[in-house]
Amino acid sequence: MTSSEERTLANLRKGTLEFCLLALLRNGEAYGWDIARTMSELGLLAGEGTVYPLLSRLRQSGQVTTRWDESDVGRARKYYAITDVGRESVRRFTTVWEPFSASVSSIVKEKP
Amino acid sequence: MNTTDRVTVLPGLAQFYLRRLRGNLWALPQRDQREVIAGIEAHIREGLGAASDDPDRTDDVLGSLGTPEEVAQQALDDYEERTGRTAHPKYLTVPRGLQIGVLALVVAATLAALLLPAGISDTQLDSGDHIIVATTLLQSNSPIVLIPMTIPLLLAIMPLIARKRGWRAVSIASTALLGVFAVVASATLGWFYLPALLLAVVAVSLPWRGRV
Repeated sequence: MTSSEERTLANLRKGTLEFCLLALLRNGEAYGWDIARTMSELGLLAGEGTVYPLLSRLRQSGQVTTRWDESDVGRARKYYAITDVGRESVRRFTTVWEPFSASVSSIVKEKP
Repeated sequence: MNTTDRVTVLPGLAQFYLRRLRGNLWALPQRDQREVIAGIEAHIREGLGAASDDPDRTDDVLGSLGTPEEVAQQALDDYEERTGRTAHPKYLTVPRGLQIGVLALVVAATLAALLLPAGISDTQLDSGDHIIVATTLLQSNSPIVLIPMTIPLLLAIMPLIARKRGWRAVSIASTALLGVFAVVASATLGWFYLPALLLAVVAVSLPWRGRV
């Protein structure tokens, strides 16, 4: 990927990443490593590490909650779950995103 | 050791990564720093599993995290998004502004101590008359007196040139030493340095970050 493509992607991620993360958590709670891996495999993250500041912000704004799971011997994992506030954010984002992304796709599509 | 055992000691490269991350997060409140670092550290431990002595594995895990600078940049952006405050403080913060005031007061105190009349010289003439003249510190002492007088100036300058993470430690040290100097000086010069000292105490007590 060229650096200008990377810049474009970074800009697009900026406004959408938190909603992708919240949408992912609608499937059920997950721990940091899992979230980072899944988002990274989908090409949504610049680096897996960038998911942790985002999770911290979403927790502090009440969109996700955390709990410690110590059932695995010797390793406590921090699980993240979406809250009602978080679900509402995704819902509001979706109502804006769908028409927006459709318009963008249609206008940038090359004419035959 | 089975595979679920916690890696107790992280490999040097991973520790170096965390140190660099911490170094780039300095502008954030402690609590935010800790949460991000704890998340990254847990991620590294999870990724290494029982293979903490495998350098290739360490490279893979750290490589896929992105650089510490990228993670820190995301953390600064998230802080600004959440709080509406800047996470990139300018040089001139409120405490730093007050410390410039401290320097000004120290300069004023030094000039006052040197130039205000500090003693009297009593010259008896042959006629038996006395000529009594007020003298300044500089007139009644050798220029060597100027050397200790530079101490409070240096102490006031130190916090102004300290950067980033060292600022509070330097400020506390310089304020404490300024306090010692003010007390010692009070015995000979007077309480000239008290206003500067009080302002320095206020400056060092304030939080670093000002609102945007």
